[in-house]
Amino acid sequence: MIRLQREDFSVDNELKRIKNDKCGASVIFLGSVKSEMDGKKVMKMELDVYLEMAEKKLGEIETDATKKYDIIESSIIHRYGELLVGDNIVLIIVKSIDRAKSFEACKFILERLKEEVPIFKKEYMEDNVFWHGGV
Amino acid sequence: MRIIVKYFALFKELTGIAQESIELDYGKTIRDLVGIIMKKYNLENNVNMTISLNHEYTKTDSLLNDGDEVAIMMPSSGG
Repeated sequence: MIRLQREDFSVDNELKRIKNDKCGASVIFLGSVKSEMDGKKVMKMELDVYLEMAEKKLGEIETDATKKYDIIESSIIHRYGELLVGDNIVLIIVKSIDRAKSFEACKFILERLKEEVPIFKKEYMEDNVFWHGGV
Repeated sequence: MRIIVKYFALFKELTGIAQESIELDYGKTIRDLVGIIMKKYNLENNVNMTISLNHEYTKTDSLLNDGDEVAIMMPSSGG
């Protein structure tokens, strides 16, 4: 399951949503807005997204991960819009029978998400505002 | 032919718009389209640009077709 949304999410609710008793383990990655970057204070973050393409790319990534790592259930949620320090950004949950594969799958999904899904971060620092990768 | 161009992140700010249609002659490529956009909005060459064609990342020599959707954006930085 993939979702792109402005709203926050609950890790507990998302875990319940894909509950499957065949899986003994759930590997979870939760990314949130950090308070400092390169020693400077972060005030807030803005995320822009190309929704149609991001949904397509996330779907491809989830399908590839499911095949490669025998995932039984998975959930990938990414927020966009304005986020404050401490806010949730991204949640990846992977469930499979083999826990080693679950860890690998979670990392695989995160790395490909960062590389391929058109989501763009604008950082509002205490003394500067910039888009990641802009110049 | 008519190409739908979408702008994201920094490029939305630099152009001041999120989307527009651009009329092009047949046989033109992504490179031709980007040249027109750079000139139209006085964009500088030092800004990192990533381009997609119909929701797939593309190279600048890709040929365009009527109704294509092109996105001008930056490298992904999600996660």
